[in-house]
Amino acid sequence: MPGIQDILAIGRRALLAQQIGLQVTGNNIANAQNPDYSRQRVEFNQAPYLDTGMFKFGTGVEVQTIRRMRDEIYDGQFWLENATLGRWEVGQKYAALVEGAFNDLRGTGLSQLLNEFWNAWMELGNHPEDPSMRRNVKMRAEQLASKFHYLDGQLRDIRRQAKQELQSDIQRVNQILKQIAQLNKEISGNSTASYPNNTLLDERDALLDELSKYVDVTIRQNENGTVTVLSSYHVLVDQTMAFEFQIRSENQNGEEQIALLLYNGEEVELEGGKLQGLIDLIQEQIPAFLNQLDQIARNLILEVNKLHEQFYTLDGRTGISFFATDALTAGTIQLSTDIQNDVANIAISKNGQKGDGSGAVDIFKLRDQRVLNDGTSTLNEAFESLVGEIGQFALHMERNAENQANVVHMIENRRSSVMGVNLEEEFVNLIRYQNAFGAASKVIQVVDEMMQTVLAMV
Amino acid sequence: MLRTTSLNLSRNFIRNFNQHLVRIAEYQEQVSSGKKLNRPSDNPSDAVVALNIRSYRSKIEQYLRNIEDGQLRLNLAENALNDIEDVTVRARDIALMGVNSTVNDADRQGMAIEVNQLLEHLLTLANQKTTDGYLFGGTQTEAAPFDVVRNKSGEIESVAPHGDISGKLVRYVGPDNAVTVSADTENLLYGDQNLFQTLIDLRDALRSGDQDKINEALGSLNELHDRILGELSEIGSKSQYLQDRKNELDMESFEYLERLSDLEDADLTESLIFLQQEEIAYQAALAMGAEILRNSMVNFMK
Repeated sequence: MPGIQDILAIGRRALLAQQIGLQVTGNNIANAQNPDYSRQRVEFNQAPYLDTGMFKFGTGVEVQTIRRMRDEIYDGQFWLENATLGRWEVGQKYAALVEGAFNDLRGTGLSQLLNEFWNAWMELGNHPEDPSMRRNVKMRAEQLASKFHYLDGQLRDIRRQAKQELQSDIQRVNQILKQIAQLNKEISGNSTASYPNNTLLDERDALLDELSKYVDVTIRQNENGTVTVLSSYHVLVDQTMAFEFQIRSENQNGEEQIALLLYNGEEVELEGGKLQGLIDLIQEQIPAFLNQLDQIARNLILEVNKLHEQFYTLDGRTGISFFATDALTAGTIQLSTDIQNDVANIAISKNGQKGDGSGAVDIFKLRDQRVLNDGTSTLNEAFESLVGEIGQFALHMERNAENQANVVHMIENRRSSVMGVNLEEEFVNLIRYQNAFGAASKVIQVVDEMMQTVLAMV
Repeated sequence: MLRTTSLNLSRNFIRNFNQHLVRIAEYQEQVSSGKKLNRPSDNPSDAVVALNIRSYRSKIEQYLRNIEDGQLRLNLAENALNDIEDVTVRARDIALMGVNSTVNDADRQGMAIEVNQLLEHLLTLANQKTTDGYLFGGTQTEAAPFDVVRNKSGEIESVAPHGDISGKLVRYVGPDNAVTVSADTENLLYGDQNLFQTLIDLRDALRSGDQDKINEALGSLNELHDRILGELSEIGSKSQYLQDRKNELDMESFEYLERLSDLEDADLTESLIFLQQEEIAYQAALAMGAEILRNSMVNFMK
């Protein structure tokens, strides 16, 4: 037969349990707007029974654990999809920059300057000896060259920015990896399955959330509470060890080549994440645009020169180049020194007479000749389709980023439905625990009165 | 049932009104710029077509300028040839009178003086300048196209072209449509039996009273006159062709402009309606957000 003290003990345990409930509820309410916080729930258990031989008495309530509400499936999905989002978003950001430079639809772009360049030749052909027409050809050519320089410079600047961003991102990623390794260490010494250290676990998962923006993340839970972090099947964190990324930069034919390396120096291509998005931009997408721009500049120089060199200048010389022949890229295209020095050196006469401008007409007609892409497009068309390609690229990135943002948003909602705090729920708990606390104190009060009664009998 | 959390509510709300704002900004751009194609990614294939059309139009504009320039030159040539025709007709009249046996020597001397004046006038016409070189000089612009040798008394003895004046001036009015806009004066002002030589011969024949020579000159003046009329009608038909081509190109340019407008220009009414709809949706979202987010059990707890 249990004694009065046993009832008192029940009351005491109940008071404590409800107090813990209020503590956890208070913490939930406080963290309601903290996106990294996982809602916690107190799980109660009956206290060990009291065996009096005949009756087995309950002895009240105990707190079994404070559970962190979290769904691993949603976490895993979030980390993978967030990585894809990171990849598209960074693509979208840089594609918009590229597109800004190549927006010929405003009517001040390279395609318009090309048109004006061709027309200037035709006008000169109509008035071969008019010095203002010669200066006009020179001016149009200079504008064209400086537009090529501008576009080339913009692409290279954007590539440089992407590289800087990659470098600082890799630093941040490595920092996160080290922090996760450190947290693994603390968790393994400080957290058990029955008494988890929810604060440290939340901290670690927040780091994994951040990491998943940069690289695709999968984890393996270990028995001691630590996680092994993997990205595209490569181990990034194992127990208390972080395997940091490196970046390799080397010069090949005057162009800087960037590669992402694992800790052991092995070159790696990741399946998702902002880092891979940046590498793609730096190594593939932007260089492809640069290359096409170079092709256009190079063919323009060669084709115009090929004709120009056949014709006679005003003082009867021939074999003069219009564009400098030692600068065949978009970044370097310029007029030859002959043309820079004297517009009389613009050669358009076929028969040697000064009044003959038929050569200029031939140069004008270059605009309709399919000299690029294996004879399938004119110089104008090649540039116009480059603009189209860049538009397509920007659109592709924008659409993918938008769609992926929707996917991530949906998963975030699902994940948050498990881990997020609902204030109404907490208010209900607040009242529940408050009432239970009051009820438990009533038990103690009654026991106290019983004691008084007993004592009064003495 | 899926739980909804306080953070979710506010996050969804923020996301929703952001999406409305993005679309409002889009329609606003369309309305204020009047264009639906503001950057290549708005519609990449339309953007390429739009740039293509602009290139075509710039080419057409150049052809139109060429036509204008060509017409100017044909007009100049036509005027000059008309003047030369006048000279030829007058010289033929004189030759007709000259062969008449009733005309005496003194009259013929007078006629010779008039023919000489016609010759000088012809030289002025033949050597007239334009803004680029000489009207009948072809691509030879160094010097006047006709060199003159004069005798001691200053009369024209012979006329010869200065260098090669046969170069043609061509204006392109389409990719493969080249129109010669300079008059062809070979066998008219130079070459076999040209007008200069015929007038010189006529003058000298009138002076010497050589009837046969006057008759001969009369014959070649008739031929030359036909040739001038032939050249004038050719210039006339070229002018007509340029005019037709101009109309064609104007039409083509206009059609391109219409297509460009289809591709680039926003339908203002449509954009405005979308903008309004979006604004209403945005206001509704705001009102709803303010209502729902403000509600909480805490308001009812004492």
